[in-house]
Amino acid sequence: MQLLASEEYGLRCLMRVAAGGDGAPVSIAEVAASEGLGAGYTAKLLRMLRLGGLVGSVRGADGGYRLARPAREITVWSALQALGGEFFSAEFCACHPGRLRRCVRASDCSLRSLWATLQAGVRATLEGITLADLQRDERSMGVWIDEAGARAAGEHFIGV
Amino acid sequence: MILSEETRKRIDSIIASDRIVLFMKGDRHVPQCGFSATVIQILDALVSDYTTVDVLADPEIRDGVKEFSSWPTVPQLYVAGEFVGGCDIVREMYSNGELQATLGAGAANLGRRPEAG
Repeated sequence: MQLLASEEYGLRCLMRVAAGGDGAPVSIAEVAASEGLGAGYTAKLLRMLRLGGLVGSVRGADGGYRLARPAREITVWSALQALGGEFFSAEFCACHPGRLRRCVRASDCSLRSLWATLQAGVRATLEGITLADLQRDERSMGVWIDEAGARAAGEHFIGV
Repeated sequence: MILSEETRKRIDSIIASDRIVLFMKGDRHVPQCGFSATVIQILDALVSDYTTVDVLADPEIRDGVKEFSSWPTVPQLYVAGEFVGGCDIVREMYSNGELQATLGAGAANLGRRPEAG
């Protein structure tokens, strides 16, 4: 299991745009150079983010990209959705029938239950983290995630 | 998944075999997903000849092409060896005229590479 390149690079591009704040739009060239990516690939990633409603483009010589809404309102989950990745989509089983027209495990599959549970957990976690939360250094982010995890565990414990 | 050298060469070879190559689910006549069907519909409106590769028939290509292009989804359109995009990008490029320019469309029938010499 691994993160896709487009998700990693796409999120990094989005974070670069977020870092521009309310200032001048961030150009494709700036994002590409900052993240060590090709301009063409960066343009495609930003285009997907725009089609997903996360960034807006500004035309003209000083044009570029800005966040479509505040960083605190853009979750990591929504960004990954826009970038095309989903851990376990509704079409997953239909797309894995092997050489048959229908998966032999279509009516009873323990894996499906496992993947669906993981998908729900990943989604719940990533829906709770926004672009604003990611504007920390690595150490601070680690501490923040640990504390958030502890809070969530405590709430769960109290809830039970 | 780490893209093997063998699969990379296979994908290179497929992309080099035609000017317009579409990696998709199913084939041109029977697309197996809505996104692939959309791209087929658009290409059919613009060009008469292009190559399709059914990734459902080849799991190595299916996973490999995603790593090859650093793009997460299929379909994937290549023109003259360059990755153009997936369904959403192709659809938008079609609606704003970019795709026609990329394909050089207008003069239909530009699918096959001209014979060398």
